[in-house]
Amino acid sequence: MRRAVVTGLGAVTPLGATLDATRDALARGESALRPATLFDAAPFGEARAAELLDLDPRRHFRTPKAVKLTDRRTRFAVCAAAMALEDAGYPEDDGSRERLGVLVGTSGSDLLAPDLARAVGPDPEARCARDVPDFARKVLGGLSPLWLLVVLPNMASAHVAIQVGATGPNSAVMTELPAGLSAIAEAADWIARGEADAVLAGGADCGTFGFAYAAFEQAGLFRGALPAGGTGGDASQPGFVPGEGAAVVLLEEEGSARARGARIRGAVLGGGSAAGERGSAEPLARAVREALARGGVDAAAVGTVRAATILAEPFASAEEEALGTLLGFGRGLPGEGGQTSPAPAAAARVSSATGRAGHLLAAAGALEAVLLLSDGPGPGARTPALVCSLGYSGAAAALVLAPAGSGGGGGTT
Amino acid sequence: MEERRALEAKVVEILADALDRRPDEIRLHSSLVDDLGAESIDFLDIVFRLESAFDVRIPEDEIWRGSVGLDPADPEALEAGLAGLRERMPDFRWDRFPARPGRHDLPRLITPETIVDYLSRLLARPAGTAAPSPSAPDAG
Repeated sequence: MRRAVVTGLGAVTPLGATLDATRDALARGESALRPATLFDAAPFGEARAAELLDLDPRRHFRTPKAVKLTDRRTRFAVCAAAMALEDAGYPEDDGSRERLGVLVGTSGSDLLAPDLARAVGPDPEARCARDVPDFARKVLGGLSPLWLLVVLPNMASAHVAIQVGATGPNSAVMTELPAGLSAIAEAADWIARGEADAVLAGGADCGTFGFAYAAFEQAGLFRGALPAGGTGGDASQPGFVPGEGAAVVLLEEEGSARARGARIRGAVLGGGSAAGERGSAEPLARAVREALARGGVDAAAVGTVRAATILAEPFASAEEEALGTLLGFGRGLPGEGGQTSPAPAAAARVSSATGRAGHLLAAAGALEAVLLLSDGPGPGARTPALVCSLGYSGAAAALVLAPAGSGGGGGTT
Repeated sequence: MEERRALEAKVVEILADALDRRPDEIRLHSSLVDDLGAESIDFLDIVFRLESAFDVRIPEDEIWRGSVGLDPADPEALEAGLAGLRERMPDFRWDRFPARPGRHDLPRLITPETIVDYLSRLLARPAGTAAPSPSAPDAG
């Protein structure tokens, strides 16, 4: 049976322009949540943002001219994917990457909102709203013809493929926040089904612009921040703080990965996804159950849990309820960078980077998976490990992984 | 003359931005396609940037027909036009260019200079008149 293993990890996050920088920042207890600088957040219920400011994307583009065809999330995706390939020591591109696929989850584009606004121009009488043809003329007349090519949902996957020469299967997942985690699960299925021998999979997103903040405000995400000192991945900085970035893994078919002597970071045992009532525990519970069932893993055997937690109600409680019910533990254990206390034998440790990195939207679940696999099996950690992500519209995804060297099937070379 | 230089500088700046080059990498006789790596998508971008910067409207296809001044449908004029371009573009790899070029070959002959020439003609015309093409007698 063909099985997908992870051989490369890449991430660009508000905490650092590389995975190592991100891990170091987390270890030092740093936070990326600061007053927004990329846009004016004053009109919104959340003035903080987790911005990725110190990244030079051109370094990771084979053809730097293509940078102009990308929005922020696509740039992040290209950078993280290039890093994952490099981390994996994947063979140089000799023009035969037809079995290398790309699957990036994203919640959408930043729409180049300033360009849109400029194209419309001043509209004090709100004529655009009354006269749609006039609106269309203004927008189309003043907007670069490249706009559509930049903002299409699949452009993150497309540009990753162009920049790394991956001419295998190419697609995009758009199931809001869980999309990146779902992309990894789906990519593992591509490999299991023989559609590809390797896939760059993960999430890339950008929530640090006014459009997104307006949408999150409308959706009520800035209300219901957890009280300081309460539960959550990082009790000191509660609230849903949108961020931006990307996290990508290189999945390879286990046999070919071993044959080329690749360092194996872990195996994908099973994935699950579900959609259900917004703010309810039920879809996440079903996604986790499905991932465990597909991975042949008993809930009691799960050692480590990482979640892309929305640190606001009702989502945090829904996540706690789903995980607590299924796995027999509650939240409230120290998060990333917190004091680690010996966990009770039956309890797993739930970690989340969202309290310090911000919520990287569709990249958040993938980032948790990347962090988990970059950690390796920690002291006292039992495997297999679970990564999950609950969205704000009732979408949920879960992934069961066996980190290498854990005895859970990941194996080492 | 000064006007021409200012126009050249602006065109070079626009091309540098669009093609991700330093301005000093762009010579007036560089082929946008062969030397500067322009692809079809870049021509969309370049036309948009030129239109915005100079507040002109460049009809579809004019960027190559008007700029290069060649019409593949008219073999005689085409040969004459190519002869002129061979003289003006001595560095161009003519050995790699088809002797009987089709429509899709012509963008390879666009240079910053042909764009500047085209724009000078376009900007010299009163607003509202047809875009000029050097391959056709000027209607004015």
